[in-house]
Amino acid sequence: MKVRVKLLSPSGDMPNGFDPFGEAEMDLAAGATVADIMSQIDLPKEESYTSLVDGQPVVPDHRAGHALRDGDEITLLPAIQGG
Amino acid sequence: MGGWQGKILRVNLTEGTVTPEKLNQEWAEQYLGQRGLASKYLYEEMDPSVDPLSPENKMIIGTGPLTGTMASTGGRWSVTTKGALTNAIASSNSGGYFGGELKMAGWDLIIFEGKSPKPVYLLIRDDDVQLLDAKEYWGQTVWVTEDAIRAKHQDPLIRVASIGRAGENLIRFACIMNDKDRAAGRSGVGAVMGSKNLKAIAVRGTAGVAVHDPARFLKIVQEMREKLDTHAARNRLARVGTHAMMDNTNAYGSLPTRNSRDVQFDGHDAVKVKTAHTPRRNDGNPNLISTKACFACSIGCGRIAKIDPDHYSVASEEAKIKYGNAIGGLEYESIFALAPMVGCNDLDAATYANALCNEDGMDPISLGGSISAAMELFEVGAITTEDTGGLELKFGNADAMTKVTEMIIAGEGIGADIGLGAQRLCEKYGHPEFAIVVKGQEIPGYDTRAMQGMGLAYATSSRGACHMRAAPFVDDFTHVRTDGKAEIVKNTQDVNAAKDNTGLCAFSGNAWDMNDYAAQIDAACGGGWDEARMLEVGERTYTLERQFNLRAGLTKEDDTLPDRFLKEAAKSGVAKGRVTELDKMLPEYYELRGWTKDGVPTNETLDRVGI
Repeated sequence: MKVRVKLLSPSGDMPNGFDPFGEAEMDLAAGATVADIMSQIDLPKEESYTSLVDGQPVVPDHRAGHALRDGDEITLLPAIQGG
Repeated sequence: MGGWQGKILRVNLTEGTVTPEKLNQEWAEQYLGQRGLASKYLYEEMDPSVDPLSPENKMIIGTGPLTGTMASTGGRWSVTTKGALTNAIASSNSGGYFGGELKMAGWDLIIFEGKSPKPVYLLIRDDDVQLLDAKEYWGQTVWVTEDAIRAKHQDPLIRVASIGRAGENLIRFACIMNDKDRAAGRSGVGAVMGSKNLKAIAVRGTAGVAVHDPARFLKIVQEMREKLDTHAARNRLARVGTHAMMDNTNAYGSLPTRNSRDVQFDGHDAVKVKTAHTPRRNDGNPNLISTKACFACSIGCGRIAKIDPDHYSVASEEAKIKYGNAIGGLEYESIFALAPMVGCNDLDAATYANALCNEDGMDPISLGGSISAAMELFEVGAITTEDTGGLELKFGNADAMTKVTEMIIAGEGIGADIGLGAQRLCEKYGHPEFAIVVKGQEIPGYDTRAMQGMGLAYATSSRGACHMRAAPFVDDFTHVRTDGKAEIVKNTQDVNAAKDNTGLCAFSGNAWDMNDYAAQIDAACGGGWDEARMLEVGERTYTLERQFNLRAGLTKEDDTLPDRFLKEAAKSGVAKGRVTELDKMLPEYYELRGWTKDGVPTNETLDRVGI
């Protein structure tokens, strides 16, 4: 299945597979979860990330159990401080 | 002793006297500096019930023990007074180079009292301090004033903090500006300065800042700089500034839009950070052309922008010269307030309005929140074109947004009413419910229906709606819930108060924990500083601010949110269908603070925190 991943506010260069605007299409095996996607992307370890699937939050405890479907849009955003 | 200079200046504007005094070292040990130490002086010396624009209000310029040192981000200074916008304690924090210069001139604090019979400015050259006639600068902008004072005294290294026409005209959300585009921005501290006929503080310092243990200090600040400079958050702030936050809040559904009627902005693509970095078709330049850093800062979140030369805001020859070249660029708070909050998808109009704020000293958050309130009043017919002089003050009308900004600064027409701030404006026009404020202060860029912790933070902030008094961001961006928020808000309020007292920038907190701050303070000041002692200072500061506000007449009833957040459900985003459930968080917060159910610190709490 194919899903679209949007990475907001990256801290440095885009991870492999992402276009300059922070978007990537990923080909996943059936049953892949939000946790699987996040483990495949090289995100900074010192920051926590929010995950949304089709605009709805998937909290950290539910990521490993949230199976994705073909066509899902996953948005990942760092929980940064404002100013 | 190191860190502190051990000296303060007392300036009686009524009498025209300047008196050096010894720093109260006992208070410095209890409150460190800046926000906390200045609040202690204010609390002990002044009746909190005074009118903020009366001569009886005092205004204290404060530095921290690390201001002016080589500690990374050690350029912060603050203004503590009773806020003209809020009638609560105000402590507005700024960066740039003014704070470091003041500290290097040998002064920890300046206490301004009374009201000068005529416009004056204070000139400090180390121990040589004079009150001088400011007649020639009154009526001038911040930008003109800074350059003119440097030219008059033939010293390009003089640093200036001043008010523009907004502060002179007592606009309730006027700022004190320094270094052209840095601001002690919130709560109307610029109006307080204007009410005292004080135009500017100009300073040149050559004394330096001594530290307790130079070798240890050098080692720890180098370690801390390495830790900060390699952190992902520092990388992001340097690259894209705070503007990047808008991608997050828009995706999450916490981006205040059209006076908080909406939580996501359909015009986001036109004003997001990527657009600001993308070269334009007509001139090949992006909106953002460079970055800048404050004194001793190794982050560099400051932005430098250039307005599209074909944009209407720089059409005249005069405007082209003043605003058409490199100017201070947009931060998240200014772009949220001058774009989504007013429904405008015009990046250059927001950049222009922000430049006007820098030039004449206004808080862009409160400006946007006041204009958005006026736009809602216009849309329901409470304000008409008769009131606006023909302006169609509708959401999304960028031309009207910038024109009314010019009118606010000049105090003309409807601008004079909008310059009162959203609360006073909406009360005057019969719709107090349109004022999206807490304690009279317009909200920053976080809708509290998706970010429940921020709702509690706004409601309990000692200076009215504020995103810098607490830091519930991580949990708020992870869980739309009320559980656990009281503890997060209470703890981060104490942490942020401790940081605000040091002389360092809040953004260093992305990489440093309280042990890191304590290690730097201990090397600079000596005396055994650790995490626990720092947090005690933070809690003491927050509790003292509460005591000030209670004596000023504020009550539990002021610890609330606009009805829009409490009663109108979010239309979209992660919190679609939800309101802010403040009632589920506030009692627990009071209990954690050791306050009564009416929000009053108990005697046991006051004893415990040392008040």
